[in-house]
Amino acid sequence: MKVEVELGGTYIYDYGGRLHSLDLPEGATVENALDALGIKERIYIVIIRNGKAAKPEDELHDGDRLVVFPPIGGG
Amino acid sequence: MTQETYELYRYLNRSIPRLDSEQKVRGELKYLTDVYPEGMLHGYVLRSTVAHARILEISTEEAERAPGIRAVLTYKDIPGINGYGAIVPEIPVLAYERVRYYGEPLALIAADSMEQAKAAAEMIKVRLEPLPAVLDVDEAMAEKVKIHDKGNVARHTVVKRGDVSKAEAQAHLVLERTYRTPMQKHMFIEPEGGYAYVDGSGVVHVLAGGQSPYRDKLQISRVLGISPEMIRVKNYPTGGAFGGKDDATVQIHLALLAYRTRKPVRLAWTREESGIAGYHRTASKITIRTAVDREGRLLSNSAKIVLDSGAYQSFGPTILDVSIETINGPYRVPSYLIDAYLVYTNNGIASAFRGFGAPESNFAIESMMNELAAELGIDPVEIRLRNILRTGEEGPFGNVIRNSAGLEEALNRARSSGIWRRANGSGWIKEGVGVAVAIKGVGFGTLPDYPSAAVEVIPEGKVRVMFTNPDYGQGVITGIAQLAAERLQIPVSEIEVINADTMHSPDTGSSSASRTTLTAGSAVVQAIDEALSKLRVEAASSFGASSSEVQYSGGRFMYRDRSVTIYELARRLRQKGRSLRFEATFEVPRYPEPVEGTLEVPHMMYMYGVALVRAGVDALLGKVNVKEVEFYADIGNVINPSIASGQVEGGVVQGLGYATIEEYRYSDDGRPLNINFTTYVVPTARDSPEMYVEFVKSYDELGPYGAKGVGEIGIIPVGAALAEAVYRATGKRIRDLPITPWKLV
Repeated sequence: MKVEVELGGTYIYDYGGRLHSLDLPEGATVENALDALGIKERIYIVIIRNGKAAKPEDELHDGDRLVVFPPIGGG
Repeated sequence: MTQETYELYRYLNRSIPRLDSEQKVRGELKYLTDVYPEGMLHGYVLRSTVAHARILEISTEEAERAPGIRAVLTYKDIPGINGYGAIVPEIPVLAYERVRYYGEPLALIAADSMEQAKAAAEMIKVRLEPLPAVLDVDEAMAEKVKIHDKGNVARHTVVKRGDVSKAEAQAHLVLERTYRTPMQKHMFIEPEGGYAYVDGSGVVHVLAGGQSPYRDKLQISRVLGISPEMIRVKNYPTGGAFGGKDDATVQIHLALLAYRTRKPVRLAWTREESGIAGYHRTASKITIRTAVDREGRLLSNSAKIVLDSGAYQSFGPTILDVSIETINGPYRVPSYLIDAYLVYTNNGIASAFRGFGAPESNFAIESMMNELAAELGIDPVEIRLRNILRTGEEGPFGNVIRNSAGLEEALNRARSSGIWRRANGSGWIKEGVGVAVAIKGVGFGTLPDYPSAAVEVIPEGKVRVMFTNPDYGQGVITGIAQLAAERLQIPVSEIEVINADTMHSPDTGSSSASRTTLTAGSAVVQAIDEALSKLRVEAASSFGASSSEVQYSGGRFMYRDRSVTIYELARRLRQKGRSLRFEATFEVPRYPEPVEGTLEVPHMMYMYGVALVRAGVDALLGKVNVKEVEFYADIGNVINPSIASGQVEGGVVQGLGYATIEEYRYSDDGRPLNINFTTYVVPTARDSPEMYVEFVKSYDELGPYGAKGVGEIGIIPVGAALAEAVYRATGKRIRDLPITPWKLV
């Protein structure tokens, strides 16, 4: 299945750009998507799936859109 | 909702009293440092008394055996990661290998009494090998002494557009100047503090003054090495913050001590401890070279921005971003070259402070605009009107200026002000009026931002609104309650707010970046819409009608001659065992792609301000006396004019302190010199000048009911406006704040 991922904040520079398109097996979780991108952080991280807060263990579905970023603040 | 309905609001544009003011005035509201839990232990932090050193030994054996001592912790006792920091987790929770600033925490103690804790601290054996303290950014950039192994430049970004050299070659005038601004302390009334305990389920509760409960929670989780689900953070009420409690202060230390001892622990910094170990505003050194044509139109702008981050970064990268974004002002700048550095020194830790990065850059660009106007013989308001970006124009960073009409209106109001005619010095008292303009993004720019909020309809006749942006005195609770009342069309007295508690509310993010009205306001409005949508279905069902046939007004659903209140519907839902809680997440509109090398440039929403400052200068003593300030601002639709004016006035006074008397200083060996209200003087109400604040009519459709933000705009342009007033009074240009008497005589 296809999952679109947008990275934000420092992750853009740490993990190869802002937009990523992942091809994941059925039943894959958010954690699998993070692994595919090389993101090891599991605590200090914000994950938004289709506009709502999500957790690493949440199952993904074809066409899901993830936004993933560290919970930094700006000004 | 459109601007045409501006006058129709029942609960907006109204200066209702703050909902928590009576409790505060009566002294009934307990701040979190006012709480002394039963059976509590006293927390204490042993700190470094040198600014830069290699750690050879920290031995705690004797201290651990001292009477009344329940825990002595060093870096070896941290279960998870020994690092925190809002952006880069590089700040040691407890120092190891090296100390990089005076006051850096070395050990934590929990004891039955504070006396026992302090006595035990004396017993901890600390051996440090001193290293040279690097306190100057130029010295740091020379890299002769490395503060971090990776080097002393924490971050370096170059942002450019067009051909600056070509623009300068064609220019009528090119001016180059260097401007400096000092470190500034927040000096909130309540120093950093709070308490923590572990409940019977093993959940660690941390109740401490702060600005970002969910970020605190994740930072604690990372250090304790336990799930965030096992941590609760509450930040309300907080006695002032101004950015100084945005990154973690006492929260992680509290959690460590409570987690280790399984006892309630109180940890509250003294005023002096806050002065030593609390955060401060970045000092800046900005060299700016600006080219204009004969009519004063900007052709190019080159800037070398150097910000002093202190020993660690905290919010440094985004502070640098804001300084980059604001160094061109709200102006049309065809070509620019911005070379920006965030530099480590041994000067404590610089972090967020009201407007972060903007007051620093604003002093440079707005002083430059005043110098250009003087050189060209153009009125200082006129030169700005010739250069400001109008709605629909492309901004300096590829963004479209969506809504800047308010700035032009504010400048026109400033031009026609009577203040210009009131500068009448006599004898050795010289008077002048200065002007400066401010632009500041609302929210986090291109950073993703998904604030969530919840509402709960209580059958007994209240609507509970829950969000996590802490109210630390800025009036958030009241403003959001007004928005909720407007959406629900019920009196504000029926709104009950639960603020800044991760146990009750989803994550709305921090109170920072003038974002709370936009983020919490929008999320609450969406949550209310969700509630009304669900209740409408229930009402329609009870009426035997379709949802579209049901009308809503004033807390009541109606169909033909029948009606039912939201509270009665909630009672029915409760009887059915259904949830009365409704949540929503707001996606903050943003440009998705940051300018290369930045994290958050540009913003989609900006607020604007124009400051006029009239000041008298005693030519014999050099004393500056600010007589009056006029401030014209575009903050979008104004939810509560009294609170919004208070925010601007507070910002202006804080800006006047920054511009005249405040400067956080270190000794040559890196020891903080002014750490309390005796040695670090801030303006009080008595020092406040006459002030006039006016909000120009404005409406931004991205904000809730057209609102933008207000918290930071007041402080930003004050320094440059005052420097210009002083120039006009005395003929002396001051390019480094604060404007102290010895710079004028």
